[in-house]
Amino acid sequence: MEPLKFTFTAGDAWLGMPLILLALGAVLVLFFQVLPMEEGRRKSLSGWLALALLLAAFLLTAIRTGALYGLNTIYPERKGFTVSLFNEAYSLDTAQLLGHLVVLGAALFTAFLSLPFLKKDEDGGREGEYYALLLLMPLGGMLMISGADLMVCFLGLEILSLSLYVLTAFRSRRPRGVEAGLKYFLLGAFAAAFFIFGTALLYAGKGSIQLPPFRIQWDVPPEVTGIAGLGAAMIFAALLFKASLFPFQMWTPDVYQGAPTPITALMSTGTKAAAFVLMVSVAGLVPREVRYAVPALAILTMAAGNFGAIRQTDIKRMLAYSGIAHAGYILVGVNSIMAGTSWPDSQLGIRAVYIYLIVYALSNLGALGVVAWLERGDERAVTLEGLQGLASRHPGAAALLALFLLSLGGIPPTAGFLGKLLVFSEAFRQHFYVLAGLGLLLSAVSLYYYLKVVVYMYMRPAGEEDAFAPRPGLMAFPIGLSAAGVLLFGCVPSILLDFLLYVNL
Amino acid sequence: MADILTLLFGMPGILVFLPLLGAVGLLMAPPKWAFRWTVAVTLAVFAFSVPAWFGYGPGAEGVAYEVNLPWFADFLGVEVRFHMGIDGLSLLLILLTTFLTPLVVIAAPGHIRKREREFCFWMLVMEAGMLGTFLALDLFLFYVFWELMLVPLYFLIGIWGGPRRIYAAVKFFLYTLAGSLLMLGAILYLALQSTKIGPSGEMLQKGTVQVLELASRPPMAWTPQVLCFLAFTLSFAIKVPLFPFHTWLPDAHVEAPTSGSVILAGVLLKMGTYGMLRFCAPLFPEAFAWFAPWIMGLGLVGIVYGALLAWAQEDMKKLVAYSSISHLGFVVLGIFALTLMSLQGGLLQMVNHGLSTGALFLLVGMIYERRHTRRIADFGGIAKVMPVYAFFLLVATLAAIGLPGTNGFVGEFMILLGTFEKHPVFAVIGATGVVLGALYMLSMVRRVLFGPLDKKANEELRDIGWRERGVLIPLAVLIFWIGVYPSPFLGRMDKTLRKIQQRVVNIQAGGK
Repeated sequence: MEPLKFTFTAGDAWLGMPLILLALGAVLVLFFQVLPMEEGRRKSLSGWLALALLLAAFLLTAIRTGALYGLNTIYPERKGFTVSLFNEAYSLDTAQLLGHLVVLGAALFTAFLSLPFLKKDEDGGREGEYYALLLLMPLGGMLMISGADLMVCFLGLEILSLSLYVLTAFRSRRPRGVEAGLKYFLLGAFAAAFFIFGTALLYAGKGSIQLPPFRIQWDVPPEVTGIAGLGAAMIFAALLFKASLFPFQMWTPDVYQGAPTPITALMSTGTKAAAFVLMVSVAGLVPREVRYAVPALAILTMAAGNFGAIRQTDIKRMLAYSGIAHAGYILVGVNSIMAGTSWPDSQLGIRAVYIYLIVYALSNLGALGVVAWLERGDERAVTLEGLQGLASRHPGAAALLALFLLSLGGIPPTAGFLGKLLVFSEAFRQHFYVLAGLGLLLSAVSLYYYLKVVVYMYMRPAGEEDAFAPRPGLMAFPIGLSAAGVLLFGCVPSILLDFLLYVNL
Repeated sequence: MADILTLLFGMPGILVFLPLLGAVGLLMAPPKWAFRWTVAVTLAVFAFSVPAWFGYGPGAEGVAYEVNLPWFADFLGVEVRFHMGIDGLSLLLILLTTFLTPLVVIAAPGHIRKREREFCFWMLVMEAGMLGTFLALDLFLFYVFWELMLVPLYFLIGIWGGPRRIYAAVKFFLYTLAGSLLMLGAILYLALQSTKIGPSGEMLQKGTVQVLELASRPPMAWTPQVLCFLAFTLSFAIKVPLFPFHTWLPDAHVEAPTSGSVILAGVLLKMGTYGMLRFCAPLFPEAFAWFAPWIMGLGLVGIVYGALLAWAQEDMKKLVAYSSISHLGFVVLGIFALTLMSLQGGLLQMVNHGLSTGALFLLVGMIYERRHTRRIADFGGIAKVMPVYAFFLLVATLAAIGLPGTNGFVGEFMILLGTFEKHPVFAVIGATGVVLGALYMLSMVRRVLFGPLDKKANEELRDIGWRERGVLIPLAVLIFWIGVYPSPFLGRMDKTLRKIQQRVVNIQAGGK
């Protein structure tokens, strides 16, 4: 065995710039904590620095995605460019860059929400930790998505998870928050153990933990049997946990409800995106016996999420259950990928999953953004009762929340319809008629609880007092952008469809 | 660029986008102008739709005012297109929509007394959705408009409705949604199987979701055809509503504000029967023919059962709502009997029902605004104090029961005559519905309008004013026009319906 050589080239530094920016930024923000400076100044300094760095990383990644996409279309015979860096531990292609964009976008959105959300009296003095962890989370997500072997992915998974465990329990004076953090940590630790043990078994059985590029996985399906198969199944199970899929979805409502709302937004979209992109990357390794169970898992997840959400009165908890249901819809897409028999066949499934992730991220971030905006005025949680008559007091907030909820429910012409359409049409194409039919019916169930919120906002008289913050402040910017995206992608779906078809995933 | 101009300034584009544009403009207008602005926009839409009446003259065939542009592609191997146009099937329903909407908006200030601007916004979105549904010639485009329409009506019922409005709104939404999701499944399957690939991978037939193209291809294999037919028909049957899927209708109608009821009865219910003609018959001809007796049976149950329920009602609005079930039963009967005459009668009856029931709901709303009750027993002899109202109520009622000289007679007579050619027993049972209709409608009119004026509160009633007369006169004119001289209407639908009927008949004959 050759000795490992580690080099660090200028190319690595340039191409890995988003990672480096985030890591250095996290250290810098922590460093501010020990500098003697005025409290308010420190708060705004660390917040704005985190925001600026996330924005820089996001824009840099967006430009690169565009550039790589351009290269792919100029040289179609290359069938997609892949760049390897950090001693081939980390790779970038357009699909992975798209995943980065979703995770970075979610973190950026969260930063926008956090600036006005964090309170001086309650969170005073600890903003540094908050923003440092907020910078580390997308770093972990990017490593998870782009890791060339499972160890790097595991590293990313742990960075992402540890940041989120702490962020969940950030408001340590609130018992619910601490309970949520502890629950998430204990169960998450199990998932991590599954992942690392699965990796070990895979190595024992197969002698390699490299993740073959996707195209190769489907052109030459890898033989994963015996002990390696068990390993791959365990890795798959760990990802079920991270994406809050049945039977590992139980933690989700408590954790989403207990966490500060911007963090809920981050968890429900960023983590899910990273977990599903990784799941797509390992889909080819999952043994056939496990794949047979995936449709059943999808149905159970959709049922658990949708039926669980019906009874909820707290909006965040309801959105947590709805998040479970959406993970189920995405799993329907993953199932179509696994059923694909060749590369172009699976590619269409991948397109559906990616589009769903983007669409879901836009809608869910928007919905939780509005919740964060409303929560800001008062300590109380946003409940159905509390939303009574919102439309007459804050027509803007009510209209936006209604739009995002209808998008989550998949009503055209919002983007949510496009996501559902693609996922279920892929299931049809792969002949999973029962799965698609049940999924469609379960998504009709989901409209019941989304509409319930609309009923409270629009159709009931307003209560005595107005508990909500009047102005969105900085939050208006990302929420408005999400709303524009939801409508744009809903009315002109070809933007996403064409881009992802030619992305040479 | 030229594409976008065609899309925006072609007839279908104007009809769909003008109301949407008006809705956006409304958000910027001051609230007190909301109704005037909306009346102006809806009248403009009507003005733009009138040329279609002359452009698609009697005896015309095929699709006119066609717009056919790509929307999004590479999806299940088909291309989804902005394909809209007007043919003999949709022409009258489009005109009915553009005609009823301004009337509804003009009548609205009488009963919409809160959040007027929001109301106008949803009315305009509603109009765009309804017109889009009738104009769409692409399955996905149709589905998008079909779903889009649910949202405005949901708000109309839920915000401005009666005491149980929320229950009614949610029930309406979920009922319709469950049906339409099944239709979406069937649409996906249709799209998927329309691509035919040969054994060695060559493309035999390119996939499509264009309705007219699918309607000219040979139909699918029997089993999937039956399943798709059932999915489509269930979705439409809920909308019509056909017995036993009708339970949402009384709730929605009774709780909806007058304007919501008029739109619901006048236009929305027709989408179900329109869909049966547009999709079920040409796309699944064999299944259509095989299931026809069963569905006609359900239609008959609807006719009789709806009429009996209407007879038992003590509330005027409920009575009109249940009578809709009965009347739409006739339309379903006519469609599935599938003779040329019954088809023509069915399509004409859709328009008739929109006019007469629309007028009835408006009239019930007008009296409710004055007395805040709709119980038949609370009235009596009001013809003495409201003679003009009594005249219009009588006209609408006579049209609803199909008195010769009114439009209802032409429609029902053609349906029954056409049905009698092929299914005499069904026609005879259906005819009892006409008798029952006369029974419950006339007894309602007798108890409300005539008899002694014995209630104190009724003596003070104002007769209807000029705004209300302005709304009712056009409806009455049309009721008599169709009743006396229906051939301009029948001539415009003739060729299109003939083609649909021929397709089903030919394919059946070829199969045997």
